[in-house]
Amino acid sequence: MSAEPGIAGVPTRRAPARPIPSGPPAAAPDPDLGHVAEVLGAIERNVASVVAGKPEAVHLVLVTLIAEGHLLIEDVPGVGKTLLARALGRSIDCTVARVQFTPDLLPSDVTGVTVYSPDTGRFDFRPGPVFANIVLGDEINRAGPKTQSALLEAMEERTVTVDGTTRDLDRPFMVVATQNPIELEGTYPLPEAQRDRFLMRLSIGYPSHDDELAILRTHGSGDLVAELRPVTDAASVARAIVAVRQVHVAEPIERYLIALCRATRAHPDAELGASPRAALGLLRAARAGAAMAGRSFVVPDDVKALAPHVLPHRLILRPEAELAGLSPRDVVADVLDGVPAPVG
Amino acid sequence: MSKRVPAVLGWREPLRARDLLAVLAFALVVLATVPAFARTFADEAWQQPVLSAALVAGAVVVTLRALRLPGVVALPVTAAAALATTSALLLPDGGWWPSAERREALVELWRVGAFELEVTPAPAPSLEGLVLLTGVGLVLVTVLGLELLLRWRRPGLALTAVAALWTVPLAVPMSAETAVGTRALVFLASGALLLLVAPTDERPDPPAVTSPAALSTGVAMAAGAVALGVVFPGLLPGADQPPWVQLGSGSEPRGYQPIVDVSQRLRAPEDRDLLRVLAPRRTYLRLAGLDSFDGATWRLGPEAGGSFEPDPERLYAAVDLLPPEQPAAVTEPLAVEVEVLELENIYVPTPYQPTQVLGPEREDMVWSTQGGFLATWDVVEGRLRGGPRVGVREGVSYRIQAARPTPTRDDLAQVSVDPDTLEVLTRLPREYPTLAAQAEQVYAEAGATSTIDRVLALQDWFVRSDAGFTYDLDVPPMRGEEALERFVFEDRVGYCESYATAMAVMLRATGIPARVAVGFLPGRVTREPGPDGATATGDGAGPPPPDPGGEVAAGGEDAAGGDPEFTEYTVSTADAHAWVEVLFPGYGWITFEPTPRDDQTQIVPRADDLAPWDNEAERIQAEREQAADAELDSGADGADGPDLTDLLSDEDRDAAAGSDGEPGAASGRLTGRTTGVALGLLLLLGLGVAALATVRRRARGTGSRWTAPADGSHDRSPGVLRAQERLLRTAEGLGMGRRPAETLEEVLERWRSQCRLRATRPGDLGRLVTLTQRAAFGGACTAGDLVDAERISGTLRADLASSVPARTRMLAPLRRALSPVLRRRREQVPEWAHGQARAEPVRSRTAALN
Repeated sequence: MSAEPGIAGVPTRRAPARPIPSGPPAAAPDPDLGHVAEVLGAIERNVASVVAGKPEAVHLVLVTLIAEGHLLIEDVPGVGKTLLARALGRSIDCTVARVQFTPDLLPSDVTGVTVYSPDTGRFDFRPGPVFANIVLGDEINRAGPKTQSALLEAMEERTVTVDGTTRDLDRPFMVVATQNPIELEGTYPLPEAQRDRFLMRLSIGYPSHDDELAILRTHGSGDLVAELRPVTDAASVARAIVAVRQVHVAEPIERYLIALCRATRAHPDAELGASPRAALGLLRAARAGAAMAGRSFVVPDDVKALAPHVLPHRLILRPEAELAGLSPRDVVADVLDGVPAPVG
Repeated sequence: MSKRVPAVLGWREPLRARDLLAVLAFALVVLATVPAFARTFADEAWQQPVLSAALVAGAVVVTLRALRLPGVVALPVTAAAALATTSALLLPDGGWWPSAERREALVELWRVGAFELEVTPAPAPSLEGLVLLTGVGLVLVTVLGLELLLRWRRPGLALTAVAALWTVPLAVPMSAETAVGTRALVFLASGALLLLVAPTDERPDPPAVTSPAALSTGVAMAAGAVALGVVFPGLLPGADQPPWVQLGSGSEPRGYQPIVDVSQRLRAPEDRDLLRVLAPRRTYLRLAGLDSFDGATWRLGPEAGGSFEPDPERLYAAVDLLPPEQPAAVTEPLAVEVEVLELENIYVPTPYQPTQVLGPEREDMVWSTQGGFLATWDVVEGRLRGGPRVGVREGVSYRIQAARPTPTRDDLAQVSVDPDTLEVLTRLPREYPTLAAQAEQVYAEAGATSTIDRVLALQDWFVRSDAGFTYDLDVPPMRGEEALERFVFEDRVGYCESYATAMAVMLRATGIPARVAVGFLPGRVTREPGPDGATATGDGAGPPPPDPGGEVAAGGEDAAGGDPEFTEYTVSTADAHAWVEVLFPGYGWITFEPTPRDDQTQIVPRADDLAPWDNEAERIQAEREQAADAELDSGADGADGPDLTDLLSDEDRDAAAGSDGEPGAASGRLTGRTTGVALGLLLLLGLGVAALATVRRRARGTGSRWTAPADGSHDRSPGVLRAQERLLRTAEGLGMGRRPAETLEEVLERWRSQCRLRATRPGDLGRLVTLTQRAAFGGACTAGDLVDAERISGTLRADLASSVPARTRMLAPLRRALSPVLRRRREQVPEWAHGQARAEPVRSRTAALN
């Protein structure tokens, strides 16, 4: 788990990119949930074999993956942020890139540069790490805003513009960024606009006593992640993503979801509530959650389970609420406790 | 809606043993209503026809169902069978084959029954009309209940129909004046509302047991009714009525209820004019004399109990001269003309004792020398036949010649009664030693030895002010073993019923033949005699002048046109009255008046004039004038009661009526009725809203079904959701309901941690969650899913119920019925949870960041 030194920006493995058809097929009432369960089950087991005692974190990572979202892992150093991200990358047979963000990191270090090739006499584009399927951005708040915003465009638009040329990114594409909430000196905290682009923010937390013991025993002997074997490939993940898009969302659920988001905006402790993008994200996450539970339809419990991970990092509390020691998480819990849930 | 269809077409299924068991149970429940009706009937004659009619009708329903005839066929057949049964068993001379004649007879008897219902107090004799009403009700409920049970399989609703039978006996003693319509409306509305609120026990496709829902419906209705009764006791049918069942007392005393319920008329919320009388002087109009006393009620006829059948030997058609009930040696002729304004009655108001009835109405009248009453009767071809009918009604007018017994005190002093008559007319249900002693004391104080002196002494004791008797309508009915003694010795507050009963009982207890008569006071003067008034009476309709011989010459009916001697009196409900009659053989029944009415409209016999004309107000006025005259000029003649006196006394009377609490009490009752009407309207409104909501819910349900995919016809999702709904409602009643923000999974989790779920199997909760989630948000549910959902919902409900204290369980239906209100109060959803955006804009954070 030691931070790898310097800039590590070269894609390690490269698989041919396959475009994912966008939108559900015209007549496909039943998503292939068996496939979803199979693929994700395999990944989950694989990741869990190295990330001890954090099944919920693993689950949320996978939900983000098939919901086509990006993940912000925010926790103190040494609890396995990077390990989790690396294990995910190793489990899927796809391109994985890793960027260690530092204050001197330049946008071109992320997106890639055009270099002159003396052999051909032309300028060639050398893709940056962002052109991988899974991008691990370590300590993202240590890079300057300019570099952060280079990643921003890639995350939202799934395209990269270098020297006036816009290039599409491979799919699936997922950014797993880690962030250290302490040691803020010399960092550039992610602005709200950028935080909003992460589907989820997740903290891993310290392991339990027994799990910590297990970590001592297993991880003491070497880098387990390096020994992980891929259990699936990008194409299978892409198929799972397609299946997730077809998960049915009943009208009461849509209304419930919107009610939740609107309630965060109306909540007395919230300065800024969840945006419509947040509602969309919650919907995608709920779909993914339902698919992972083997259901072809979303239930309120999916929404309730995921809202505490999807919504809080998008909220801004009122100063007085912050002073009172409240966190956005509390507001979301309050909202979930107050908005009537549909039962049928 | 479409789910209902298989239930309606349940005729395709064969009858099962369970159905027959249900029919037996239903029959028992119907039989159980017999005691309720038995309280309202004085004899048992009604039971056989009523029960056999219900039995036959029920047998027809069961047979048709067993033959698996569809509803379209079964319904008309059932209706025809019910009609034939009614006609054959409930009509006096009916047959099985309905003919136009029988139909007419049925309609007529129905009408008679309605009147009888109104005028006959409970317990009533088995009058044919009443039996018909009861029988038709029982037949209808039986048919309806069995149809619900066998065709729709809704035992809960069938029970509700039977419950309606119980309310009928409660309504029997009420007449139109007591706003029975309003009260019935309130109860009907609340019952219907509760039915709508209570969950319908929908029959799932593989039939499941529906009894819990039926039971809770019943409990909810009962709880609601009790709550309503506690909060608004005045709305209860039978409020202010004597109880029919008095535990711990075998004799079952009742308040005094003569044939026409005097107290009800007196307590009518507003005065209504009943009769218009043209008479030369004031006269009591009598309905009947009540000969027997059962400890609480004076009744017509001998005290054998049961229905009173007048002795045919003592009935006389009124077309002829009427023989006197008792020979009267000294009489004074009197002629009155009576026009009925609003009264509906069997008995004809008449001065006592009538000698001849004039006018076409007499064709239908009969005179009984037993009880001395004139009644309207079924008269066919001059022969008396059948029984009484309600012939006195609006628009009827008749003229009566009467011979008023006017003996003097000296005449009566020598009279003696033969032992047989005395024995009958002094019969009392028990000893009244204290009353007898009191009477003897009164006699002794007055030094009275002869019968007439004793009677006058007792009357004076009641009327005299120093005895402390006061007149008040607002007293509870006489109840209990010692009610009469309490009235005489302790309370001394009452109205004519109490006074007449007390005096008659005291007379009988001291060996004086007495009875209670009911009828009307003379009424108020509405037109003075004189040329103007007489002209205004119109086409010579004035009664004939008094004939000294007590007989009317031929053509006398028209001879009295324009006679200026006649005063027009109007008799209203406030003039309903009861008084005492004492028999003096040879001189007839003599009227006495123990009631100290505070408006002084009663006529009190005195020793010097046993049959006075003036009422108390006039007498007092006359005495006052006489005293004044005597002071000034002893030669003046002021006691003659000039016309002016009538006017004055009436004003006096009105003033007196205004000063006693009566109008206030009336307005109080009026307010009560207004409240009842308002409450009824409110409930009706609620009913409408609930019905609308149901319709809309159903419409929505249907809509979603129509838009469902092609195989939606087999989708049991609505059933599964109903099972969930029922579960949540039960939990709500038990105080463990779902909070608005909770999903079913969370609720079940909570229950699992809080309750001991004994019968629920381990996988059941998860299964229920899966099923309901699928039903609500995802795909279709199969019949098997529905069975599972019903089963789990059922066991869970049982588990929940068994994990709360019994008290909570008992209150559950009530809480469930009130849940919409309680929920709104208990679990306020915060305003922000509705997502209403705040008015203030989002504050810029630039400052905060720096």
